[in-house]
Amino acid sequence: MESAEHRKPEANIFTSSRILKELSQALETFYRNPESFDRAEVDKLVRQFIREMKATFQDSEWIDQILSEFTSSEKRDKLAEWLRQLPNPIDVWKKARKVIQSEEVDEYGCDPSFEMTIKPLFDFLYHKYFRVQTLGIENVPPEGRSLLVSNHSGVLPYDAAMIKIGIYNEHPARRELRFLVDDFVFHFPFLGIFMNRIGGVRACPENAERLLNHDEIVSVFPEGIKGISKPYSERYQLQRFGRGGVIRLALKTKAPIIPVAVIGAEEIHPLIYKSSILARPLGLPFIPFTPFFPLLGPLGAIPLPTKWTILFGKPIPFDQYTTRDINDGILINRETERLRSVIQEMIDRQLSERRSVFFG
Amino acid sequence: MSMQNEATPTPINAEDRIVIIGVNTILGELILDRLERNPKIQEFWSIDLHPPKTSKKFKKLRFLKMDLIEPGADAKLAEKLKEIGATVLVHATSKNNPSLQWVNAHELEVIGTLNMVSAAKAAQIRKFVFCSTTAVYGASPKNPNYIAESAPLDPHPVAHFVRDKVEAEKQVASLHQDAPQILITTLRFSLIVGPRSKNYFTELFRRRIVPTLLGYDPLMQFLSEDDAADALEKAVLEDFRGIFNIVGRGVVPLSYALREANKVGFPIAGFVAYPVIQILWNLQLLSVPGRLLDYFRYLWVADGEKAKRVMNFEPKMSSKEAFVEFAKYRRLEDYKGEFKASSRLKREDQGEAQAARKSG
Repeated sequence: MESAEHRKPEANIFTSSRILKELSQALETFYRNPESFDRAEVDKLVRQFIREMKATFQDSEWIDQILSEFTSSEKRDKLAEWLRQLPNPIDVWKKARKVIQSEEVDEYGCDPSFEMTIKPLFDFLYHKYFRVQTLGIENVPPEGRSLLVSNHSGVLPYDAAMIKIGIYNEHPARRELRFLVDDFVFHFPFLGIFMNRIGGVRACPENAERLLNHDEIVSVFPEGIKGISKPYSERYQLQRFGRGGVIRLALKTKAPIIPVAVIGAEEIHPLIYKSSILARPLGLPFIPFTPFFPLLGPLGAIPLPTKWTILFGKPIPFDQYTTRDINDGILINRETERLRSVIQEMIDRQLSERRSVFFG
Repeated sequence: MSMQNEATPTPINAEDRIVIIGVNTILGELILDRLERNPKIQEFWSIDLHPPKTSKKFKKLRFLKMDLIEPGADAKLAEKLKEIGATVLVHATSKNNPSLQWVNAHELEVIGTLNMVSAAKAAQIRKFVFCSTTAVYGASPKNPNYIAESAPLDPHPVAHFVRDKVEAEKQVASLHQDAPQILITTLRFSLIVGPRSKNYFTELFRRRIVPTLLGYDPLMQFLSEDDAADALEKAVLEDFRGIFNIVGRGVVPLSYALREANKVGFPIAGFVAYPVIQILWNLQLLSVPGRLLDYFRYLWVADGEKAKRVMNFEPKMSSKEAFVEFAKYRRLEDYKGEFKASSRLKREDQGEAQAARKSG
């Protein structure tokens, strides 16, 4: 009971945070100089912290205080007044619309103004959150058609966005990447428009061919849905590369293929289980189950902050083939397998150099 | 417009005798105008149930009245074509608007085309020009961004309006198989906007509030009347075999079109919109049936590159310019309406004042 009296006056969340701060300082001294580390002190702090947490949650005064904040009539009036001061939501929407929409979209529906408005978010993800390291960016040609072929992973296609931002930020020519999106996206309201306005184009041979013939830089993920839905246990193992559409495209348009390996994306949403039956009525290809996702609700949809590396390989030319070779199934298959092994090698090499998932 | 035509010499075959069927559709009106203005054409014929409704006088036009869907119309039409010695038959009866009387519309589109096709075969004409629309490709999220002429037509069109057009296309395709010596030019026009054209889209923009689908913002393609007339004239006077998409340059998202025309979009969730709009259409409060809503939801943009390459046809106006021009004209029209209303009010006021003076 003495100890209870001792801590009673300070029983609130701020004490706990003070103790946490002390604890972190103690741990820091351990990292700097492990020999002078005082184990007993840390133990004491940890015990103190647990005590504080218990006291905080057992002490009902604290919860009452918060409840009274919301239930007292004065506070309610204040809140109502504050709400009244807020601008009209329609005006806000109109202003926001002016900022995010421009008068012009390009011929594929990409809105450069909208893209620039939301770019800071992707820049944050690129520089601060995933701390992307780009290697071999010089392999991306400054102009002319080229086809980026990459591994696909991580349930939500963050990898496509990061490759796009990476090329835009790091490449001297600041090229605008076009990425091909699976068509189930365009069935959905809002999602389809969003993907379209940031430069996504529906993945089909006609679109890819037209883009390459207009000397654009296009990224494709031949693994497709199979790639993003592979379980955690199969991470960094490339799935089948479609039916060789990528090679056929390269032969037809004479575009060089640049193999790309994305390291780190496979761990952002560790997939334990996927359900196709539940997803069918929603029109989705699958519903993911990760250690966090349905359990923590929307919080579970936040990707884990892994450290990423994007590796651009040497371009593979396809000039030596003629248009007649497009119908040569065996050749297409062989080239597809070769491309797959090139990317797999790049991934394996980079993985062997990586020491930590979160720190690189 | 006419000056340009006179300036550029068109390789016209003087022996060609041009017969136009369907003079009261927008394309019929446009081609009548152009032929009347062309100094190299001495006379041309038109066969239809009703004479052209426009107030303009056509000096070179020889109009023959005939019902094209009555039993035995094909034999009669063939006879008339032989009498005239027709060499070029222009099929421009394709309806601009969906109709509530869909049985009648089906007769007009499909049976009319069937009669025309058999008459063309019997009369051994040299050239058959068929005006269709790009709506026959169908609106779907699985469409490529730019649909080429070789793409298959919509296999299961929901709307009667589109179904009839697809069937008419099939009739013309069968003519190509049965009589390969006839030169068939099929022109698939995108939405034609302008002061004279009245189709389901332009009629939708008559009201201040335009219903849209929540979360969908498809890319639309517009063609100005002038460009449509150019393309059709080119196809009638010069010889091009095959199918051509006649479309404006570039695309305009529906939301931008709404803002440009100063209209208010009223977004409705997809599952509610289809039945609600179908009911409004049945009550004739809207110009678009619920079954045509896919065209306001998904992509159906056609590729105009073949027309540019083969026909050397390039639209003078982009989609956006064409739409802006249309919106400008609409505003002017509204203003005129207001002006008329206000002047009538003034006159009434004056009349009342006079009456008051007299009585006073």
